Amino acid sequence: MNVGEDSMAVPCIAQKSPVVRPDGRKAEEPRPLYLQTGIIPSASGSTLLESGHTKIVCSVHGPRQVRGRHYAGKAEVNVQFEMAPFSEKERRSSRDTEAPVPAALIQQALLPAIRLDLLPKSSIDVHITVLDSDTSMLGCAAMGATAASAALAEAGVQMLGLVTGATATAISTLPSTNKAQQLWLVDPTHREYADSHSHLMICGLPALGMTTCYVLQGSVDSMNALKHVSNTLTQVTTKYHGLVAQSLYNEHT
Amino acid sequence: MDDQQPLLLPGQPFPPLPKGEFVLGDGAYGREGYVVSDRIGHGTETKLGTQTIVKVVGTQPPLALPKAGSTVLGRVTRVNPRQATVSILVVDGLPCGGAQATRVGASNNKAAGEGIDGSDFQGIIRAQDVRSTEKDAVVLAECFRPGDIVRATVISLGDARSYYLSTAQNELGVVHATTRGPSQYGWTAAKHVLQPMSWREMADPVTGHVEPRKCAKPDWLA
Repeated sequence: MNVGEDSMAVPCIAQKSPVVRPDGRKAEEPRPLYLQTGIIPSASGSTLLESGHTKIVCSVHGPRQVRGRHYAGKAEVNVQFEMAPFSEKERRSSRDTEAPVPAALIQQALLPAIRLDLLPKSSIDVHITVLDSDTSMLGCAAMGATAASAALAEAGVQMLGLVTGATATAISTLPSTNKAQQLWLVDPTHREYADSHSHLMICGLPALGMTTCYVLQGSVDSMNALKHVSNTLTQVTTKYHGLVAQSLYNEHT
Repeated sequence: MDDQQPLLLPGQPFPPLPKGEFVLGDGAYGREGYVVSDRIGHGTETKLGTQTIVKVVGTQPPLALPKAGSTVLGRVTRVNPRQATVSILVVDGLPCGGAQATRVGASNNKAAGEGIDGSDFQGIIRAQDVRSTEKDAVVLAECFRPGDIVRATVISLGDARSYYLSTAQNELGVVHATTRGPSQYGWTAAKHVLQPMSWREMADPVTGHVEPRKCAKPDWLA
């Protein structure tokens, strides 16, 4: 039995195979992605990224001179991640808009891809603003890394490859065998994220077959299922990479 | 002979290259036997004897940062008895800092490369680097004034905050300077562009007033 939308209890969703999600997607199907570069004239590179109802704007400034730091032979990357006050159902106060954990994850995802040694004594500032959020915080971080990668490429920063990210979340299902089971959903909506307990994010460089950031939160019932969803997310990042590449091609030809 | 190829994105390998010896140029790196692009641009192969230089020419101006040996144009921002501080605007003919500089210069009342929020790259010209003769007799106030545009060469990356610049050559020094004439009856006088008269003097063509500068040799003097 499906628990109602307004129920406060943690729902157990009884489903027949195959799983059909509220928006009609299958378990391993991501939402469509739209990417547009060059939207902010005053930035070196900028990107607008939309997927479902999630909208993220990223701008890159730099290379700029580093102020008051020790001598550095290569550039440093500063990531600033903000949730707009109107980006969620409950309004955030201005003090709560900045989120340091996604910023650190995005920096970790981007650092292996950027050739920092070619830009000595400089800093690259990446500003990411979430205008509308319909996914988890990890989902915003993964999409932010994708947007930042496109913006950096647009700015002319030399990179080993384009970084893309994807997330999945696990819900509990009650199949006909009456035994609780974990089911991983790719690219969860905010509702699916709120109803779940385990989350996975993978960011990498699909062109080089490299993973740069791997985040797992919560418990895992089956290592085989985790391996399967990791491979699925890697394929989703490859698909996103194709979409980002196509958008950059269209912009530059 | 140059052979241009289709558009490449970061992480995209070059189309299969003919056999021979390759040198990785700007915008390309090697990985597991492939030549891979690291920026958005067109791949280019240039034959040089038996070697082939492989590089990627970006679709936008490259990020130009000062490096040792670069010729830069800068605006003097501060002068003190030991050194002059310069905001670097142009590096080897390109706006310093890359694409943003080009865009900002087009839409703001700023020189190309001049930062909109004080984020310019900073250089200093020390007293001993102003000229190669009479180093001990250099008076910096007689060589530079704030607002002058100077052409200099980069000696080194310097310290954490500044590049070290030098104007100790004939073609280096002040290339553009202005002065304000005497005000009359309370009106602010107009600015006049000074013209170089000798290697250390500039004159106002309107009033005839002569000011000392370390002048660059004009380009039209072959």
